[in-house]
Amino acid sequence: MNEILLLVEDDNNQRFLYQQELNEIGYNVIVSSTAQEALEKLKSINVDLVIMDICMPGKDGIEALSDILEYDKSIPVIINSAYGTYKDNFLTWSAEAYIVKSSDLSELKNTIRNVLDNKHADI
Amino acid sequence: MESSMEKGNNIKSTKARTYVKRMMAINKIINVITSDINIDGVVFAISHEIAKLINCGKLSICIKNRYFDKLNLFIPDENNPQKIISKQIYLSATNGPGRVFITRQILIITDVCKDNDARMEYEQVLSSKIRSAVIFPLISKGKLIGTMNIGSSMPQFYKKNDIKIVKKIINQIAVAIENASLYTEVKQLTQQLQKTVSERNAEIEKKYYQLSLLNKVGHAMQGTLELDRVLHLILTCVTAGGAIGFNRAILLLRRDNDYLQGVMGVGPASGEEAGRIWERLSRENWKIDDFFSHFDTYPTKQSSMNDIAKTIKIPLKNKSDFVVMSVMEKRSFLISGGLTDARVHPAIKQKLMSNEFVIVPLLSHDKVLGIIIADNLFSGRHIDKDSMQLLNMFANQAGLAVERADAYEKLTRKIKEAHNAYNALKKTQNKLVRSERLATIGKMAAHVAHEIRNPLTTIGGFAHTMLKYPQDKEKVEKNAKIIYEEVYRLERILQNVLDFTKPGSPVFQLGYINNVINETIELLEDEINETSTNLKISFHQELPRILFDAEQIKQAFINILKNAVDSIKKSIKFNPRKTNDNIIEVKTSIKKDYIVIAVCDTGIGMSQFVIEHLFNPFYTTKQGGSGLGLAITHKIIEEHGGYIEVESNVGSGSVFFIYLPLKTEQIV
Repeated sequence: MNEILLLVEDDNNQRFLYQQELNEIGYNVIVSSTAQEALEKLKSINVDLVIMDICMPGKDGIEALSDILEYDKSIPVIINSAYGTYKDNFLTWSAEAYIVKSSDLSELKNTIRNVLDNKHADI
Repeated sequence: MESSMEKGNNIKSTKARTYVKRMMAINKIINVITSDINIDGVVFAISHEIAKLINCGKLSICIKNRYFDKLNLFIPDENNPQKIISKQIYLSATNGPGRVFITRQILIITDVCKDNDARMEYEQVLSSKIRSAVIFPLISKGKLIGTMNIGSSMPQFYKKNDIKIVKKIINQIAVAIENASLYTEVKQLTQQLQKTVSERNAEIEKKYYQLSLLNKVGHAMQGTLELDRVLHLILTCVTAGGAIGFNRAILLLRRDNDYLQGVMGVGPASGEEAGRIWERLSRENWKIDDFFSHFDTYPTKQSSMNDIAKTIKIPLKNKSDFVVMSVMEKRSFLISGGLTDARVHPAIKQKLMSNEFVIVPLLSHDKVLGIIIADNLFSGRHIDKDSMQLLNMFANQAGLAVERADAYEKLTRKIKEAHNAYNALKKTQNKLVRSERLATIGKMAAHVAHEIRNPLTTIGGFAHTMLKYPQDKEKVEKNAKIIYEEVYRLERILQNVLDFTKPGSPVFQLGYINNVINETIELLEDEINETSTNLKISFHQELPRILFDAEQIKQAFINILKNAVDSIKKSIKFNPRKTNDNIIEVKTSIKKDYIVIAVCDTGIGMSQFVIEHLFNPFYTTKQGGSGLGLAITHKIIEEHGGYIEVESNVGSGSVFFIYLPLKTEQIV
């Protein structure tokens, strides 16, 4: 069974890019354009991992990260932002990983793989 | 018979003639003696006229003084009859006048040798050659005022007739004598009074002079705020001749409440120097006013007393020390055993070497600020009560001046401190502003990086896909389209950054703000209507024309108005039921020197965090927003000399106030 990733991204083109690329390597990618929508989806779908942008209208990624962890601590979250500066914000430290967006998606892909493998090892 | 008759008649007429002659003489005497009111003149007239009347020998007049214990004796000088000698004799029961005072009768001493009391008086006491005398009581208005004495070196010299003649005029003589003596007394009293008055006047004048000096000194001191100058002025005054006039003076001020420190001294250090200075002062004719106006060049300023004074330090411990007593009891002391008295502090003994000096406390509001010690070492002049009192009065004024100068000095120090603190603060602030600016630049760079990285990620990602599947025409087409979009987005971002960092400078023209606002609202009217928002416009109808760049103000205003519309849109999105009561209100008014454009919306509102970052370039809460709209608005309004205020509450809406100066002329 394919692992389910929840991608939270407000930029349409990027959402499309990530979805396409991650689908290609075998993940089942569901998407949300806002944090609120993502939280709703988390409650109805068993998600293996969340990839989250920070800068979004309405609730931002950092706030959403807290909400997710409050809902279920076992869901790993990877922050994927065009901002490098939020690495300094300790609120992002509870995420499994912090990736600065790049056209080269290999870092994102590797990180997803590692996080998921660790998660299975823990169990 | 006839001849005897004749003879008798002759005798009678001779007698009658003599009588008439005498009467005339008496009349003349009376005229003469009453014509003078001076006692000397009266006595002279009496002796002169009586000598014409009888052979009277020596004549003298005794007048009792007002205390009845002495007699004033007036005797014409033998060598110079015009001159009257006056002396005092005691009134006794045995001397002639004394006996007359007791009996109030004429005393006739026919032969001094046969009268024991008279012999005692004339021979032994007066060593006089008088052998016979007649002493007449002088009774005026029933009061015995004195005696008239006639005496001769011959015994039994006076005949009964002589006495009878004199008796006839003695009352007039008494009146004349009394008048004259009264006159003399009054004259003397007047003279005495005049003397007293002039003495008093001189004293008053002296006091007045001293007081006016004090007043002058007081003014000079109160007008001086420099402590050093005040102190020097004080000591100069204490030592300046013509004022208080001490030879030397030193000033000790209280420090830390537990000791007195000598701060200044004036006066010569040696007798030689004193002589030199006084000589110079008198040669150059220094007056007290000169001391005030030129006291900086006063010859004792650089005196060695100053150095001596500064070495004196007296702890306020020993309660039997004069200096300590003066401070504690707030009173002055005149010390006359300065070199020996154990209550004189050794430092004073050694440094001043003075036996007589004064210690005067320097008082201000009942607080002892210090003391002045002054002496007359070189002139040796005794320090009297007057100069003590003057010094005391002076010290009171000086105390006030010292306190004022001291307060002024403290104030100056505080101001300097405050000034330094201000400068330090300003430096820090400048640093802060610089680092704040750097931080802003940093933030801006981060935002720019973010804005650029997003499209780059997309472009790179899709280009990568295209490379992977170059044959998949559909994919390539779609990805190329996306890349094209993103490149366009990048270009827009680049343009924004350039626009923001290099905006065109405003072109100011006079115009009506209301018109510009109206035109701008028209641009957004459709969009506002779509959100079924109630747009209220209330313009101040009498706004004056002001200078502004219409295009820029339009741009600034549209950004704010668009934010209001977006905010309403968002609130509808979050709460779709809330559709009917959305309001945007645009209002213009005048507040002080500004035209105020207020834009009020009932949208979602902003948190404090958002308000604080609102005008930062590239800060945005909108999807796809550049974060430059309000930053540009802010910049435009600032360039117009105005400012923007924001009030907002999350959930209830926001108000933006744009303040534009009521400027009609451009300051170049």
